[in-house]
Amino acid sequence: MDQLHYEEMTFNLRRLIQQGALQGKAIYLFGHCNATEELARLLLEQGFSVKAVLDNNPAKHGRFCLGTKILPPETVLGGPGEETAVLIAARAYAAMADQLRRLGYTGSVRKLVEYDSYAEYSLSPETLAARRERAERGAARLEELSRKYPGRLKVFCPFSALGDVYYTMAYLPPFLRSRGVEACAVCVIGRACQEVARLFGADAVECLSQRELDEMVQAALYTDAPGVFIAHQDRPYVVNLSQALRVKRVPLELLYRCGVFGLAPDTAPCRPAALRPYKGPCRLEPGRSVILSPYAKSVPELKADVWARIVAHFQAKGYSCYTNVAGEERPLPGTRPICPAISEIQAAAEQAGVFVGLRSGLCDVIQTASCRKIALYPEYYYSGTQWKAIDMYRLEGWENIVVGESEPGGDLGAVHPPQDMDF
Amino acid sequence: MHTDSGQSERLRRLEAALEHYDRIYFIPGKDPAERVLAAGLARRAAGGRAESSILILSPLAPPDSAGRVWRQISEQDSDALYRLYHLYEFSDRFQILTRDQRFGGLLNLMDTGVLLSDELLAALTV
Repeated sequence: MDQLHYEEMTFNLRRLIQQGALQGKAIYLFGHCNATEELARLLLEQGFSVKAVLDNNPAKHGRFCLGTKILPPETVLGGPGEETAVLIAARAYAAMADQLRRLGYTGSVRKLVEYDSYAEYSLSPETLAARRERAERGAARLEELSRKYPGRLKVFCPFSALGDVYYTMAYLPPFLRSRGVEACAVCVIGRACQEVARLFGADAVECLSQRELDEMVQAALYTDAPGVFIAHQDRPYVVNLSQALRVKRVPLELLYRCGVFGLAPDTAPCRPAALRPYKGPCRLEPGRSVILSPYAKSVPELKADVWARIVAHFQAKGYSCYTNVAGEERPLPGTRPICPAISEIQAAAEQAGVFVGLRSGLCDVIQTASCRKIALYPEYYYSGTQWKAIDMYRLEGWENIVVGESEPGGDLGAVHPPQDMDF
Repeated sequence: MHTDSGQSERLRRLEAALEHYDRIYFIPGKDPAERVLAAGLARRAAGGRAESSILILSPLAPPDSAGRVWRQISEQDSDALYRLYHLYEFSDRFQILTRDQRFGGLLNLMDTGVLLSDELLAALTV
């Protein structure tokens, strides 16, 4: 769970507590995921107890999440609705709330995090009116954008993830050629995604907030706006590519190349052209340093002891260890912080000699670096599919290693410790 | 979608259908590939055990294999549904099957040989 969503969740939880909305209620959390686990932790810290974690996956039933049992959603019907509160920090809030309603649950359902502003499972006049207003706001913004970039295709990257933006930019030039488009303007969320887009030499990259871009995307759909392309494999809801994963493993890059852009499977990706040398304050001992990257937005973290063992391993071999950090992230114990710009990270890794990272979008950014590259995959299932993270994200030319069990908060790292790795 | 009685009635029918069916596929029939897909989908849905839980809405005339899963709707209803679907996600039970130049989709995977047509139909109905 990324920092912004975590802060949103803590703010919303604090407000619910202040309003007395949880006092004396049997509290259920719906959807076992990282965010839910963080929410459970916050509730426990505040002195609340959680009756159960509800989840649709039968394989999880009977297991525990921070000491709370995971049970099927029907469990919530066990008590009077007015004495119950279901809190949802998972992504599919609208579908989950709808499921509870269909089960006959009459108690309160609270959304703790707004991941998906496109969904609202209601056809009420109020909802329709609010949605039209939203589309109008987006249309006004879209018009501004069109005035700023006349004649250019507007390419929307609607999700703030480095890997998604990387693949979009890697396949954008052949896509533009296939459409006969000469110029485009790329819209992304957040500075980091903007940096990734610029790695590919894009001259027009607009940095927007999630809300701004969501509204523009929705307006583009609703008004049938010309000159727009939404470049994502899963967002917004009109993109049905993830359904392919119900029957077949289609790695992320192939989803982009063929599914998003409709390019032939043998189309070669473009490579970043605007990489810069690393000029940070750390003097990396060439070939004798390792950059560790333990943080990722939407990937379950590895347990601290996994990283501790990796650090100990490299230090025993005489390597200097660095942790790639951003914002308030802290370096791993025994390592020094390093924070190269995205355009410098490849050069930093090449100078260091070794890069070891939790498989995140940052690994995509440096996928062509000439150094030893190790990607670590928590053993979780990708987005509710039958495919593991490594099935979807495996990188060519890397050492791809699965670490531990899939359950967040479980014994991650204990079952298959990284001693298995041949460092 | 104008706030007229026609729209209210349309929304009422849609709400009822969303309550009743597990999945509703809307096929606007704008692309030749849709027609082939629609026929396959209808055959699959009509032949499956879950016949009663799947509904196909389309202005296209039903293919012979459609059985009871196909409901032909007017062009006006089709246009209104199309607009509504693109205004926001009002249900995860409602899905449009069409090719759209503004974003990618399963039909791209079929065109590029990543998915076979049977796999595409299975992906939609599993």
